[in-house]
Amino acid sequence: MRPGVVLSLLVLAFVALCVTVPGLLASTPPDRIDPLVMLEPPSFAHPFGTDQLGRDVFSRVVHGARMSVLVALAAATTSLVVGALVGLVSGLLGGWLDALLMRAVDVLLAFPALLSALAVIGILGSSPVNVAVAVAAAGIAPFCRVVRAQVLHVRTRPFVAAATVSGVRPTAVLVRHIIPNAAGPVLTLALMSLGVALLASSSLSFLGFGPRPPDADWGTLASSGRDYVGTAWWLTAFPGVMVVCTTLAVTALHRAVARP
Amino acid sequence: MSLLAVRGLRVSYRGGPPALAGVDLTVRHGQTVAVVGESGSGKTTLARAVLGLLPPAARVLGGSVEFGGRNLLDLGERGMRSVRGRSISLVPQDPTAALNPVVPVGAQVAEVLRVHGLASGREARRRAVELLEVAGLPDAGARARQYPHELSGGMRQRVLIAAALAGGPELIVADEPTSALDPTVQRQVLDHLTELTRSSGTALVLITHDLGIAAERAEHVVVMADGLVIEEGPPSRVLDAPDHPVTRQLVADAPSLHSTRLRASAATDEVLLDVRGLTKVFTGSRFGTGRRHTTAVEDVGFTVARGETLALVGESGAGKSTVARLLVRLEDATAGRILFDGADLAALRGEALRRFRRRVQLVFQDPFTCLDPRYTAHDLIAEPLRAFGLDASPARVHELADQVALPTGLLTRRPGELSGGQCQRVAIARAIAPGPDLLVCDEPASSLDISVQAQVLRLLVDLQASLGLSIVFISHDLAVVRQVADRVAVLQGGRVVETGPADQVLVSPTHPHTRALLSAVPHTPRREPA
Repeated sequence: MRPGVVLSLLVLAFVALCVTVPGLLASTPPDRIDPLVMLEPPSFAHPFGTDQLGRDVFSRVVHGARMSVLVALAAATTSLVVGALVGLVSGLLGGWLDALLMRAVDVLLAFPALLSALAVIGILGSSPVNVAVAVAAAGIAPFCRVVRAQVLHVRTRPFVAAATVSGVRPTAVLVRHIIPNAAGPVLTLALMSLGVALLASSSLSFLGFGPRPPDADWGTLASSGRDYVGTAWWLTAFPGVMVVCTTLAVTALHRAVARP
Repeated sequence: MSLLAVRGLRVSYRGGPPALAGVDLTVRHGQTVAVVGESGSGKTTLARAVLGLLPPAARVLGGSVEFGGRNLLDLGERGMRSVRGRSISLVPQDPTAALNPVVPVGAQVAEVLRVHGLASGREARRRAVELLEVAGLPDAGARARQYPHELSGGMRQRVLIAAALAGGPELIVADEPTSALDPTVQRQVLDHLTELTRSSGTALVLITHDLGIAAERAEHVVVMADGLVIEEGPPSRVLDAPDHPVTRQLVADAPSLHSTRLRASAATDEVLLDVRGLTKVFTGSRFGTGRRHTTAVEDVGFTVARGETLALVGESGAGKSTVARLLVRLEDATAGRILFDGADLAALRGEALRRFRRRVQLVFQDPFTCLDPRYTAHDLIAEPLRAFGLDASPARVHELADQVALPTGLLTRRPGELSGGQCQRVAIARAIAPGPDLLVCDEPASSLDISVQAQVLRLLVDLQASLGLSIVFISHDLAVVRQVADRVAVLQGGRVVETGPADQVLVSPTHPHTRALLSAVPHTPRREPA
């Protein structure tokens, strides 16, 4: 295994611990206000420093992981499921429906993903759930394309014709032969899409569409430290570093999986 | 004095068992030497070693390759570059893969002249056209400006022959130069290649799995097996009176027009399949030019009786595979009727069509791609049994494996872990599993080694006898057809041009196309199977 992959797995293991058992990593509650230690720089007692209310930034970053990661996971999974369904229908049925769906995908692809996500947020209003919906909607198009291309490729392989001749029913051919053989590149894309979703949902939170205070994910944490960027860099830097590291780790893992 | 002398050459891949285990090969000036053997015997590794083109995973363990007094193994990559194309050149196996698709073919021939400093600019282009003419490319001046995709397979191979001749080499290595071509084209290209090397005094190492080609064209035949030369000598001696048991088996397995039917016919008079006026038109749309219609099969008619084998023969593009797909209803006919046991196939839909498939099964050409790589041989054989609601117990699967002589220990393996012959046995087990009346075999053995091909053909005729099957056997190889067919229908351009009993069509053909196909079959030595 390459060192980059090992490092990525370590980062993701840490993030996974933050999501599942945050209390184990950071014993200080994330919303305990301590006026005695306002805006303290990183120290042994507060490794990521403290914010303007004296809350421990390390604890807030660790506890914020759950919201960030769950929103990104939900968004990527929704993109995968919806995109796979559209791609399957498009690839299997073909004809005018295929043409219609693919033109719709063209339109989606024509806008930058963040812009489409902002448009969806604009319609639905701001909340973590809506952020997930918006990011998911913006990420559907690539899945449609990849699933459709895979289905078109796999269905022409001789073993699909062989299964039909062997009397296998069309639905069973789909479930037993086409979907398993088409899944590889789609799951690889899902991994990359998870990184993109984390970045996009953090961006939306940063812009103020995410969770309401005192709840915070990495995007809102970075955003709330904006006013102190000149004097207390640790408020924005550490949540930002977490987003960057997690996204990089997922992307590096995607590259390792995609390359045979 | 010899031109090329390979001495005790040993090569292995990734430290595995040796691909070449001490090979000696001598080629004299102007001599044609055929190297024959099955896949895995080390033929191609030998060719690559001579050209200094071994893949990175290969390691030379010992021996020498002397050419013109120098050991090529000591030359290194820089030294070999001045040898390749100038002193030794290669005619590769697949003409499509070996040409650069974005460069006109004339420029690809001129490149050889240019890199060896033999000509440049306009002179190189002029010489390239000359070389293409010599290689037998019609209208060479215009063709030189065309791209590989605008030429047929045979024309592409002529371009590669022109490129091989360009440097005026003393030795040409041809690695299965025609195995990707149709038999009639194969004959023309080989005729031309051997004639050119003879007239220019170039030595030729012809690597082939086809004993007929070796017997017809070589002055010296070298037989390889398991990385060793097991026998060599003049073709008349090696192929007519082989010493080594492996050579004897190779000669016995090679089908030829002298071979007889593998088993006495069991054909009855009862008509099982009656095809009339079968036509298939493919409609493709192309941007800008509107719809294009291609007639793949036109007004084809034949009958197959119970227990009978009908062979459909023809070159690629003759419509053979389309007929196979129409017979199992993977495609719907544009016109015409297929009557199976009195019922019209076109009328079947949905569940009725699925139940009909029990009675007509298809064996595909490529055993690797027709099996889903994700399932084990056991699952693959059980699949049709389950689909038709038949007994799919392990006992039944084992029984089918026994019928196709597949060792039951292999049933837990996936297609990627099986050999081509074993995969084809799995595919045949799938085909006979539902107990069909008719088996449509689309070139079932053409992608396999000669010895494996012989085993698969024997398996098919044995199954035909024990199960009372009717077979539609599709092939381009008339020698194979001779071994299995009761009757033959010859297809050309989607039409049946000649049909009749095998003895009559293959012995005294009436149509010129049948005669052309017959004369393209290389003459293997007359030998009864051992």
